[in-house]
Amino acid sequence: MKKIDVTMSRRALLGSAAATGLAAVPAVGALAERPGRVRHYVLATRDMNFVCDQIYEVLGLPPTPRKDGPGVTEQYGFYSTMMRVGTTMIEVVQPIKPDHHLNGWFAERGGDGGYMVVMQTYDGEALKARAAGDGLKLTRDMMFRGQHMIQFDYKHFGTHFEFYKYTPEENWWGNPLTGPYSDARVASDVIGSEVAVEDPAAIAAQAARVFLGKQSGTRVEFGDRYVDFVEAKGQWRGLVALDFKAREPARIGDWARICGVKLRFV
Amino acid sequence: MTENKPHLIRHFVLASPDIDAVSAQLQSFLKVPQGHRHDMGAILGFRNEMMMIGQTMFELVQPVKPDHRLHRWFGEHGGEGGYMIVFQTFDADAFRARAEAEKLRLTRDMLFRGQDMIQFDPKRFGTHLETYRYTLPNGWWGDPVGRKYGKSEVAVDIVAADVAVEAPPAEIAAQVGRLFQSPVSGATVRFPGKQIRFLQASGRAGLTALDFEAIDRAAAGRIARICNLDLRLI
Repeated sequence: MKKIDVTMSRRALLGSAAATGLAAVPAVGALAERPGRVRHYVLATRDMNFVCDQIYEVLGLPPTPRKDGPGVTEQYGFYSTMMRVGTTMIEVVQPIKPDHHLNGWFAERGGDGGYMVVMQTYDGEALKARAAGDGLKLTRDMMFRGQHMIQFDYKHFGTHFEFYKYTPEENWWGNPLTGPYSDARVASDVIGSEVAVEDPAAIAAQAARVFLGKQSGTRVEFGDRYVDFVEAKGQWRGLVALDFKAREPARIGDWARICGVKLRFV
Repeated sequence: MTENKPHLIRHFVLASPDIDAVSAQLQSFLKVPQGHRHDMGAILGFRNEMMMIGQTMFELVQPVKPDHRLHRWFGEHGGEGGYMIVFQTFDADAFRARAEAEKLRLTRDMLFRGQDMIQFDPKRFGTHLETYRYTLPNGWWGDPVGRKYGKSEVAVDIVAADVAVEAPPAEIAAQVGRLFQSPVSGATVRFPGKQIRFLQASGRAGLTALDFEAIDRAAAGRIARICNLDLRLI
């Protein structure tokens, strides 16, 4: 039987990050701005443990250990569980109090779902200038725990696209390099996502322009990751699918629907 | 058209921290050779043994990775026991629509190795009820058609299961009947060649007993307690 290596050492993680441009010097010159990078996806649910158990099982991912005492996010009114798949963080959040804004989002959407695509920017001011040039409204522009956070209106982009200028830039939100995470047995990373909107071509063009991605039809590539914009067609809009790189070729084509998001093995 | 085909029970699953021991007891009681063993620890985190009794698959599973969810189930369940009943559906989308109409939460809703799988929350039904729309209608999990299985010398087939539930058994049976479009009588739901009896849990819920049709009628009445289940020859 072929042995499959599911280990992801810190060195491998750093190596992968470097290989995908995180630490690379831009080839076209020192002044060129590096493109945005997809670092993290957020799923929102009314039952975090139920969703986490499903994800852990489907991905063969050992559960993230829980610290004693309240979590970091509880002061902001929600529970959160972080997990890492390859170099990508997945966060599952659950509101604590009835008046939390996530409950309004559930009501508007009709249930649990994909809530956010979190990206890394290397120049927050330039990103804001491009957003202003496109007449885009920012729903957040703030320093949060020492990180510059910029968020775009989900009503425009289908889902919440939230950018951070991480400090330090090698270890983004959730602490993937040194956090208490294990490796998934079934998938090696999250390599893409699907966002349903009313006008995929226009939104893809704008996302490529403002977020510094490479457009190919309705797909926007950010290094070795992509976001596919698809037509909502009267269905749920927003973050509707995540693509996982399957470790076993036999699993390619399989999928699991969890928290209103289709986890697809590619 | 395919939705008119009745749902079939294809497969029962027992979970244990030591399937070698459970298998030895089953081999003795059912006079059946050891089944096919597979180590799927590297990817799926468990190992199993597949037996076949008549036309029904009989699977034993054992977690091999410390994070596997079966460990937690052992803790909640009080140890080894009956874990799952697996059905075949012929129209998964229609089945999903009925589940949604019943406002049931799915613990699995996925395509697994090319097979369309739906699983219900065991907190509702006492045990895991899982359905597959198999790609090959006669090639269900365990490959009963293509793989050679040893036969039991004492049992024709598995013909009934007892499931202890927290909610009123007749209410659960009625809901299972609606979901699977199967006839219900009191707290019993009938499927072709098999039935499930829902009982009020007096202690822990779950799959608590299996009935095997005896080849020799004189053997009917024999009972063995294996893997915290009553296995009865009837």
